[in-house]
Amino acid sequence: MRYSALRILMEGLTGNKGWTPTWRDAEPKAEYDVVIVGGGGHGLATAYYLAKVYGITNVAVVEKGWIGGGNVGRNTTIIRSNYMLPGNEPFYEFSMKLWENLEQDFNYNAMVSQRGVLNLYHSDGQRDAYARRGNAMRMYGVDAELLDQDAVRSLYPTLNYDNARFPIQGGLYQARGGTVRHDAVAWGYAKGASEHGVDIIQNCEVTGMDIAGGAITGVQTSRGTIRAKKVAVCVAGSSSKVMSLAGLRLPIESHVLQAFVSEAMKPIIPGVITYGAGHFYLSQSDKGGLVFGGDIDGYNSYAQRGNLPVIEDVCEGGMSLMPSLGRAKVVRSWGGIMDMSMDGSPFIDRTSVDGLYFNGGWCYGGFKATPASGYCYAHLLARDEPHHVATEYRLDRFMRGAMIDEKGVGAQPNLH
Amino acid sequence: MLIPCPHCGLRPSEEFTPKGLAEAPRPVIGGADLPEDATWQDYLHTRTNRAGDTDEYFHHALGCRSWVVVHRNTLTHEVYGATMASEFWAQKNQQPEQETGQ
Repeated sequence: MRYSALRILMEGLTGNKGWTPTWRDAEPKAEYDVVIVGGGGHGLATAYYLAKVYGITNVAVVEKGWIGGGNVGRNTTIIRSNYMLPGNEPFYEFSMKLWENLEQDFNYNAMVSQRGVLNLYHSDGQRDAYARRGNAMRMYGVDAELLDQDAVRSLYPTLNYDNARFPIQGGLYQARGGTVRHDAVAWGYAKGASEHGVDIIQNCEVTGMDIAGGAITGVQTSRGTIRAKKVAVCVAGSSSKVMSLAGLRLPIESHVLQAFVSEAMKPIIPGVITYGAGHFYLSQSDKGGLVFGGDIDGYNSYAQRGNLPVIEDVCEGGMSLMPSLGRAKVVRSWGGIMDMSMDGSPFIDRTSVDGLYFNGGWCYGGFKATPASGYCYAHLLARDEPHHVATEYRLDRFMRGAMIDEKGVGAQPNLH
Repeated sequence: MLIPCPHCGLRPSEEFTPKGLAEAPRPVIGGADLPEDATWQDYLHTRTNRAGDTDEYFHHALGCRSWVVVHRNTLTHEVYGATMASEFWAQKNQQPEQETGQ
């Protein structure tokens, strides 16, 4: 079904009887060319680009729960491409360019809103670091602007400028950054993939991998055996669990990241702000709720919930950035499980098992990467070589000393 | 979470800084036992990252400043106990087949 304004008008005039399901809930077939494990944003995007760009349509996406029920529905919906290192920045900018045309591409309203991402700085040293990052971004053709305090004040008059322990001096601004309706990304990709013939199979948990002679031949699932020429694992949050079915260990620890929403209010936060003197970031959803978050809890966790000390820490960050936040009630908090990699950067790579591919390690930057991750993974699956913007996301980069460590904190996953 | 520090007793987790999974002892360095690059890389970067019962290093930074290994469950956040990091591997090696903390 093709969505358009005309279609809405016509359906409105004819009793809305013509709508059909957005995508097809499929039964598993016995064999596919590619089985994608994980029906989150990245898995569905991979299926979509495999079918649309690379012409491989005999594809299944198998999902343990329901599509979009994992991290693509649990994030804080921010998109940006303000990275610094050569291995990262071209990839995230590729992602940003795909976001900019995504809704037209898959014909679904994902509410992509380029409302601007502002990283605040609070010291001379931090300003210099942001100037350097902004320059690195501009060298890759990405928009970046260093704002002084007056410019930040005109964008966000309600922040704490005069009485803060760490006064806001300015910020690094990426006007093309913004937010996206996260669930709609999963649904839009599901629609696009489904229309190209991809089978989306829900309630289908992978319980084993069939490997013969060092090559994958299929997967065991809760809905039977599915044979496959290629198996593409794409289950960030549960990567270690799923890859252990093939006997593989990964440079990943699992951690819980919490997020929060306040009661709805009139528009006060036009874009996305990150606080530079603590770990806190904030935006306002179109429904009016303030969406915010901060650090991961820090200990290893597979539980999709966190603990109170981090909630307190996040709220303290918010209060010091914008004291008027204290008048709003927090109405929801939740947790998601992050693949925290050893250098803070992801993986899109082959594995030591022929035909088994791995995409994961997104730390807490997976949502913004969704389109490029899917595109580059599809490229790897179709061509057996990395896409040119994802050549550094290899599993062997630690052995080669080629880490992509934006923060420079070393092999310490809970600090990335 | 409350963590039973072997030195200080039951303390709130905010006093501790988590370091990461204690899955394998540090490879012995020096002399003939100099670790192969692959052994060292595996120790530094690769994890089994099991869901469920886990051993994890914590530093009691706002307490006695001891390094402890906390035995806990990553699915339920239940804490079973804690051992001084200096004693953990010696104890674990004495009972190689047993999971600690159960």
